[in-house]
Amino acid sequence: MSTTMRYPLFCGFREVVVGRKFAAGVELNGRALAEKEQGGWWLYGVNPGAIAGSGMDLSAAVADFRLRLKGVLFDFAADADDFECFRKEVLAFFKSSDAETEAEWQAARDLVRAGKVDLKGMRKEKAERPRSARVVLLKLAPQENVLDKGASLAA
Amino acid sequence: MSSFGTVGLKRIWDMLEHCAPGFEKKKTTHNWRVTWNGNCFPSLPLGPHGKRDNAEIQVGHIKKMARTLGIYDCALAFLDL
Repeated sequence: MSTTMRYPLFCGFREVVVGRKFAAGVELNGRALAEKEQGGWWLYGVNPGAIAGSGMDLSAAVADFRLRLKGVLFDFAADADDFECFRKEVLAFFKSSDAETEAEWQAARDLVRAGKVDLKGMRKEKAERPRSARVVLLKLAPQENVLDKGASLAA
Repeated sequence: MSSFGTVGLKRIWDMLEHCAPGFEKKKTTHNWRVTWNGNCFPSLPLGPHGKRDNAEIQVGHIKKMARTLGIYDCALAFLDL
């Protein structure tokens, strides 16, 4: 019998990425499934789905996940001939998901809502947070500085 | 095996030859990008500097890649995970 504990997270990350003659703002509001294993934590992406991160504790796993996300975005920027190519790559990456992780995320959320699973110390969000990805050309103005939504437990 | 266990990169390429014949891989600045059958996994770690010919990759990344490519059962059986 599996002893893996699973937790459904909302993740909101914002990055500034520089490519060939463009600076882009990337804002991803997605989902990830946190798993506690013996030895540490894993974060498996739901949207974006093709990414994972790990760490000794949940904060370290979130930080690793974000670092890997940044690496993927930097790779896209390095390969893109222009902003539009970069934008299309990011949006396709965000939409990619696998049905198994998606189903595990939903099952984990059902357990949280039933009061059978909790994650002490993490902010809870009961409302739906729509999945969204936004990639814009930056105008290099102060109002484009936006704080992350960070990670929260989908309750 | 725990998701914190590791598998050598050469064994991962062998697995992909078996489970995703014709797969393509591209080394980018920060990751390996693996594509097969219309699916793309752009975040397979390169591994630590100095050991990248046969870097040890954590099982959690391999499982996620296998799910993304749609070869999960085959990958786990081949790698005996």
